[in-house]
Amino acid sequence: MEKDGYSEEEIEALIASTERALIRFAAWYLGDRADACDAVQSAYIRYVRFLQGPPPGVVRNPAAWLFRTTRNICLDVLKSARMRLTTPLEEAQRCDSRAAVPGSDDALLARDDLKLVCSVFETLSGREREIAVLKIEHGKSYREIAEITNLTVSNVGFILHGAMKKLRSGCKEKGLL
Amino acid sequence: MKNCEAYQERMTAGLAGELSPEEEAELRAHLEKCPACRAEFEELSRTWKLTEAMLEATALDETLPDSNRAEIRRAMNPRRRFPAVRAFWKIAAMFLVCAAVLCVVLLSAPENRRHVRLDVFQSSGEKLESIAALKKSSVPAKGNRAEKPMAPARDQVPAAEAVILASSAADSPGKAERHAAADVSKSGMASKNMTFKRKTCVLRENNAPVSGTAEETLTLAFGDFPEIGEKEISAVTAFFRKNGIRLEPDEIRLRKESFEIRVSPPRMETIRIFLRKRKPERTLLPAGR
Repeated sequence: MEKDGYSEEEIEALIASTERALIRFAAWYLGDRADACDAVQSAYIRYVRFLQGPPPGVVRNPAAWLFRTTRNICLDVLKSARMRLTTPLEEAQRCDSRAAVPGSDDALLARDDLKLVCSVFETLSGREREIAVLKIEHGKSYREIAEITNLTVSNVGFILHGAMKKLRSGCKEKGLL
Repeated sequence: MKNCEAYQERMTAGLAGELSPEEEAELRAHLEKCPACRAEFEELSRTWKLTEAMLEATALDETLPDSNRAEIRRAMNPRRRFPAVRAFWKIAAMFLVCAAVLCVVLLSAPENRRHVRLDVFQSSGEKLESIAALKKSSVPAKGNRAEKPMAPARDQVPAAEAVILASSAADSPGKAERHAAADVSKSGMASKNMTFKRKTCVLRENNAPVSGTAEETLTLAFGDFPEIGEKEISAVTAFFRKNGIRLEPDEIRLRKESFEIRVSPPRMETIRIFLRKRKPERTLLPAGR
């Protein structure tokens, strides 16, 4: 059904194409599946209302818009819960829980290696992790990451490079390289 | 070494697929020449793959539960929520708009459109009772109005001469009209083989004097008279005469659906005052009160 500049079918297709990535992204912030789903739901509802207006909104890149909104919602949730992204203790627990995901072992990464890489990753700053996740896990371009995180494109490249250097040295220390 | 530092950030950009073909070719050329940078690039590449594998392995792979989807669909169709309430407000809003439009139309009538209604009762028969005769005959005995219909007197007002009810309806025309209609039904006139049909005569006032003359005009328009004729004129003049206002034939101009009264301003003022002072209860027909 065509409405103010969008159709239900378009929204359904957008949900189908982005929901998994958004849930993963939100879960990375919040560490909880249900909270992540709620955050993503809120992002979709904001998107629909933005399109409905008034005035009816126009979104050039819906996926980037949704990532940015999901990120903002997650940060609000964390802020309101007075949570930090992770503490050292939580890092270990999180890595353990991640490593316990069924089927997470693969040919490339043994279970222990997975935990080591995870622990190295958790040493990055929040901004570095955020950009690394958006680039490495979600394959977003520098431009999209800049749009999502409100940074400049060159800043994104600089921060990602710094994160990669830290990861490399961390992996080296852990004997992974 | 300085040259190698320039390629450091490009290595990450190259892994991220952010380099243009020219930049990528340049990086590859440098890596072929520089073993240190090549080793570093390989380490970075391995680190990238490890991180990618870790993130991939530990990430959730879920879709939204039905409850979350239902909320999103509800947002897409806000009208589906409380349809009865929405329908009620829609209808209420339509009524409000109609009322507002009606008020605007009524209140925006220009001053010279203010009018006095004259309700004219015209017989369909050949003869019509005089005002006096009607008055007498239709006054029923107290408490026995229905059983004692009026006896039509035969005196003699020319056919089609009408009984005119004047009411000052400029302020409340609807009320005056209702009142007059009630008078008719109570009078029992229709039961005497002489049907009286109520006609509405609307008096429009032109405030401005007629140009070049020292006269003012009143236009009397009959609401549902198809055509104004001498008989309607005579009915109206008779009505005015009975109330002390004499109109000369040359003071009345006949038009198709109306006629004009053209008199000097002082007389016009008299007519206006008279018409405006007319109250519904002072109608000439017996009201059964």
